[in-house]
Amino acid sequence: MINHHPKFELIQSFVDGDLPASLSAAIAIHADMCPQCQQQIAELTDQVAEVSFEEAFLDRFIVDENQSIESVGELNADALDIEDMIAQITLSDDIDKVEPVVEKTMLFNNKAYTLPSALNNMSFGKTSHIGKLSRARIQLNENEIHTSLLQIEPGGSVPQHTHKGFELTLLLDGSFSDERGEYVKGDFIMLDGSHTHNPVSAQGCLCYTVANDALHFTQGINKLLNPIGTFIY
Amino acid sequence: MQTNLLSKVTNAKSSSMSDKIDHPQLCQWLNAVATSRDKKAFTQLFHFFAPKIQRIARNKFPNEAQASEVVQETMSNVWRKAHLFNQNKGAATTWVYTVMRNVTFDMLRKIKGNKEDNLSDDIWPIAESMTSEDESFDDHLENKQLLTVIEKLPEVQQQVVKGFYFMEMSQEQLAVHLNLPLGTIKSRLRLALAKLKMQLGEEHD
Amino acid sequence: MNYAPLTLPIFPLPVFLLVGGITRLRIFEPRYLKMIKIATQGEGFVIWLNPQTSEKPLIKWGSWVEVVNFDQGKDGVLEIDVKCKALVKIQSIEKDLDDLHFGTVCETFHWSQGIDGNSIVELSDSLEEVFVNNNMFNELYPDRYSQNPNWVVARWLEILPVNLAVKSAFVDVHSYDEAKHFVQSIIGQNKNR
Repeated sequence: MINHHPKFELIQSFVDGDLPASLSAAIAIHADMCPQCQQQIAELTDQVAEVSFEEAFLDRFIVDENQSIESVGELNADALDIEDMIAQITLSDDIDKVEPVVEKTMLFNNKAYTLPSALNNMSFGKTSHIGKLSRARIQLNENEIHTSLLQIEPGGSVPQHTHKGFELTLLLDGSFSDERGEYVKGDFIMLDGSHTHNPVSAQGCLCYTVANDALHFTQGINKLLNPIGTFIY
Repeated sequence: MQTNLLSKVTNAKSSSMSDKIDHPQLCQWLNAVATSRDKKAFTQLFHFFAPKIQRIARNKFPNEAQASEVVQETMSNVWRKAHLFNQNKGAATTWVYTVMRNVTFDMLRKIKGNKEDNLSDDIWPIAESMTSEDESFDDHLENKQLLTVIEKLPEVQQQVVKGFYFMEMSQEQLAVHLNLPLGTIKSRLRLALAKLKMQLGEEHD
Repeated sequence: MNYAPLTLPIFPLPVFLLVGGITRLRIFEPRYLKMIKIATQGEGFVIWLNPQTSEKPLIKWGSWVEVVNFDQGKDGVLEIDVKCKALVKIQSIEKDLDDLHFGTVCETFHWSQGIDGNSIVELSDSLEEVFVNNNMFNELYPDRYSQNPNWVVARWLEILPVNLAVKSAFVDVHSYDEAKHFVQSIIGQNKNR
């Protein structure tokens, strides 16, 4: 059973469209597996849409109380050449056909994984390996935010580490555990700089990871491993 | 108009705010665009949504021209994709909001990340019923002999002129209520319908 | 059972309602406001699942309802709560000048107004839970008959996300057992409770 969910603020920004693609995709993937969050998102979207399009919406932009809704309408009419735009749009009666979603699979160490549909149009870099870890970077061009698919083979682990920014791990397949417990498929695990952890996967797993800073390994000899930090995230 | 009961209750606030939106009217226009490429209905939709979209976009983009581009792109998607709107899945406002948010999201990515990968429709699908599971579920329903009778029930027009609170739970709400995955609910419904079909077959043949 | 035919206004609407079922409608079209006026002065009206466009009534049954409550929504639209008191057979339908339908109908007996001997605790409990957690239902159903299995099955059938055509199969007078099994196969195997 899924125990870890995105917190409300994150879901709200997701609905508003304010999150980067990396985190938006993560929440969409999680919601596909989690009816509660799916429901919450649906309700929130209804509300936000409602508020955005209610008639009174334009009122909020009126600073001068003497100004009427009509004059705001006019102001917009200036910015938008309405008739022209409508004519242009309706020029063609073509409709957009939607192709059925085709499932994509990806191979890690000869194991095939079905990709969540939110990742369907993302481009992947070459897969690199260190020990029992394999990583494929997802090319989203989000500056300091790095997104990857990370596979841990059975018995593999990520040495104890912390990070300055945030680190999101979304379990797509299999399970792993750390100091705080066991995580299963669908768990949405958001950590920040105050957390230290050492994930171990007995059965192996595939994760979708998003982090905005390289990891810093904190324990003894692992400090020597810090280059792995930049490898993983 | 159509309000799923559980969400209606948890969002008492939102439903009171909705009073000012004529949802049945919006649905009717959207359906008229979908079924008969009705330009008058589209013009009505345009007048309703465009100024609001312009205002919302103006908060996310640095200049008026880009905000207008969001309007242009959103409204032309409404024109070209209206057939994907399913009023059983939600309000017209929710659907147009999704279209607008997706346009905005892809445009911002283009500006900020210099990426034209248009990921938004994968993250927030505009046509939810396109997944294979839903399709087989619908197909199954459509096979029912009974369905030939009311299948084409013009819920569209009817709700537009009358309006009622939809007392039925959605599959998602049922899943939440029973604390079961949506997939389980879908397969249970499928199974129950299959059994029923067999019983009906026995009685009527 | 034999009942004399009645003439009642008919409201074509995709709402599935069995005996005891309550739903809230928003009325704003003039001809249906007129219908409500007739209905409140007379003996209620009939909710009819039939497509409005068809000439001949394909569906020959309807839910005979009476107005149990009304209010004006914040937007000024009339909101009425209607409760189904019986199912009726529709014998013929005519339209008046305002395009309002009137039907000659005959009351029929349906399992949703009976009481089955065997209690179904699981379905009663889960239905009660849905009602308790839902303001709309709490408002609509001040009196709940959760100990009456027929009432419970009927309410479940109304709120389940199943096509109206499928639900209509349970209008058959003898279909209580089928309806019960149908609802149970969806609701009744939850190991968590």
